[in-house]
Amino acid sequence: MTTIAVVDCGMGNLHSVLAGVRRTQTTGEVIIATTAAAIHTADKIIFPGDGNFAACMQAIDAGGLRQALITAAQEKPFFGICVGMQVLFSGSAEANVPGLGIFAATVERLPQQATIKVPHMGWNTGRQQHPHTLTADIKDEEYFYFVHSYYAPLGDWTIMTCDYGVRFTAALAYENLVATQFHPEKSGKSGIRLLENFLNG
Amino acid sequence: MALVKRIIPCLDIRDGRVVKGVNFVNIRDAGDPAAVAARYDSEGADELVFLDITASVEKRATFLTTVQTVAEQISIPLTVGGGVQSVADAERLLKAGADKVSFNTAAVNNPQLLTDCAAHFGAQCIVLAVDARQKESQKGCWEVVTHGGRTATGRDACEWVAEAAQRGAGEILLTSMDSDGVQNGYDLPLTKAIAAAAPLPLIASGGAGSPEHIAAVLAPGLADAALAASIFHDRIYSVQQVKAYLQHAQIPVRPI
Repeated sequence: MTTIAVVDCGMGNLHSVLAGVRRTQTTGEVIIATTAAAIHTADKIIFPGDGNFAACMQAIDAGGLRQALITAAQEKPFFGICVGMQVLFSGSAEANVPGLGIFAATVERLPQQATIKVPHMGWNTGRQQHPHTLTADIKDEEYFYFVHSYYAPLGDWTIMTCDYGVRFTAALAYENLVATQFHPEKSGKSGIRLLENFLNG
Repeated sequence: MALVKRIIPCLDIRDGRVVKGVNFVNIRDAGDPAAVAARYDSEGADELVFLDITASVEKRATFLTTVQTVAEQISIPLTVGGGVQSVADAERLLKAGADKVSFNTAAVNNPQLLTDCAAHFGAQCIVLAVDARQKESQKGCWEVVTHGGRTATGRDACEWVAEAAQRGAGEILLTSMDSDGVQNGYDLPLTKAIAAAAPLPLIASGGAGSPEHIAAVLAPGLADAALAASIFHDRIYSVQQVKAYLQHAQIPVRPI
């Protein structure tokens, strides 16, 4: 049976991601991975990041998970969520610590403007750049739930964009690796569908 | 594109049940939290707020169980609050599945709590709940009240939210104690003043009696989200009906 590991680096809220995965139609066995060994043996990885960039990287290192995550992100189906997407980049304006460096770009702070409050908190639309298995059967301009103050820039990796003062990467894909800035586990039926696309893809 | 406006039903929870009552008297049972939450999720609510109104500390464990059960069943964000006193309290709620934690009285008494929690968990899950009441002596000024409205602090509400924003609160949940429970509409001048005082997402609460009231508080320069309890619990309006009204009024909402 396929093993789906939800990575827990001790940051707290993976409960809602776990619950979201359990609401999908998946036949895989869902486990919580707290060690590098568990990440190595799992078939698919879901990596929810929480809190801020530096704290997330610190938790990754405290758990000895850095290399296991980099390897998994390069070799097996891997889904980063929110800060779990941001730490795939080389760094962030939020912190003076390097990220996992899968993508050579820096995560930036959302520019605050008169009508643009930061954090970007609530439901916004995702514009699909091109078809991808992750977004199969999800309509363009669908609403997803965002909560963040920093964003990943656009790049070859971008498969979905969102506009909030700037246009940024709402979802990305690179070979086996996918990630979303929004929270699929909190995005109603479309979010659950997206998780299913990853788990069953 | 700007964010759509959010509709947020609020559930008061006591001893593992949804309850309702005016000013904490005549409290009636209004159902099983998981069932009520699932109904609002399917009706198109954008978020839910659960407030623990349990009187005793011993019953707090029951609330955690409720949060956990509900978080497992819904696919929308869940904010929880009521008696949150410490970083450890917040952590327990987040671990139980809450997406955001709201702080009220404890933050007024110890503003450092906001700073500490924002540093631990990130500003995005820190909600400052402010209960405000019109100052009798000064029209256009509101003071912060705590302990469910029983204690006047003398603290200016606008100054308090500005400080909270600096300390790392990520969202404001504003309740007008003058209009709460009356169903005569939200306090628009208060909402406007608070929106101008802190550059944070703002949830307005207190006074919703109709979709028109909700539309009014979601006008430009006012709130980003409207919280309501009675009109949804009593099935006077469904979330769907409110959203249909807002769409008709050209207020952007997430379609159901």
